[in-house]
Amino acid sequence: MDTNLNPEQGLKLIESMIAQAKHSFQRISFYFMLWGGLLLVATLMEYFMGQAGMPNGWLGWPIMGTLGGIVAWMHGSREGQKSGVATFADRVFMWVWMAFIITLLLIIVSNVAVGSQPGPWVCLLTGMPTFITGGILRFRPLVVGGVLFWLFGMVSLFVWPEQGALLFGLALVTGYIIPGILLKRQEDGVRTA
Amino acid sequence: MAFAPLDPVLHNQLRLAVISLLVSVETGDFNFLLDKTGATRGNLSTQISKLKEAGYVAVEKTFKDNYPNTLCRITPMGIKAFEQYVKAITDYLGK
Repeated sequence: MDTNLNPEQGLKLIESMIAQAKHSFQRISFYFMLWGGLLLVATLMEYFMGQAGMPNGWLGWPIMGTLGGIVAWMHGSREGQKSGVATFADRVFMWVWMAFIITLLLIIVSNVAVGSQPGPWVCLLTGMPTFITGGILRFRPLVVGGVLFWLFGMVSLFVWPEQGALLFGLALVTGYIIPGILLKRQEDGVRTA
Repeated sequence: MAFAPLDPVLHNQLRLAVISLLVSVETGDFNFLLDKTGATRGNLSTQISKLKEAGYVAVEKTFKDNYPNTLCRITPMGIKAFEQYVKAITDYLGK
């Protein structure tokens, strides 16, 4: 691959290389499946323990949150080492999700401090980075998932805590787990293409 | 109508492929460029050196998993040269 080109070949080569580089995002489906699964467990744990009249059902949240943080950090470090490319989109994802985590923590702490339920606000907030990520990736299931987080968040404001937790669980399935599985399929397809 | 002369640094298949990849990402390492271009290691290394000498690519030597890793990034001069090259060939093709 060291010959000179005519202009038409040059243009085709440029287009082909740019198209290849377009598919060089980091793989992120893992995070949606990980967080979707862990938070679903926390949601169901709180719901069913509440139904059974057991105390401390909320403990699933900090446990799953800490576990998810550790696993996501370890996975991210390993993938970052393996990947040979960094794109502008990767940097956008990092900053959007970092801003989300900070806002999420502030919402949880401030709601708990004033004796209010953070759940519906967490659900509403989660729609934003999910929607943005889907838009940047041009991956419709995540865009739809983001919209569903907003819808379920709105509805759960009126039915929290009884049915709200179940709605949040449903939002996790439709907004994180299903899009995460579909995204993984697409990533595997891109990798082997 | 006179056409602008094509930049001899970029008017080479492998160097143009490398620049086209780097213009689309923030950084790409040697193995990424090797994988996408299908070039041989020796040839790719030579062409990256030529792009570096021309000031089109910045090269950073790092370590990954205890092995040397060459990280490449397109420079502002490289971006300008790439844009001029694309304009020159599209003018030539009448696009």
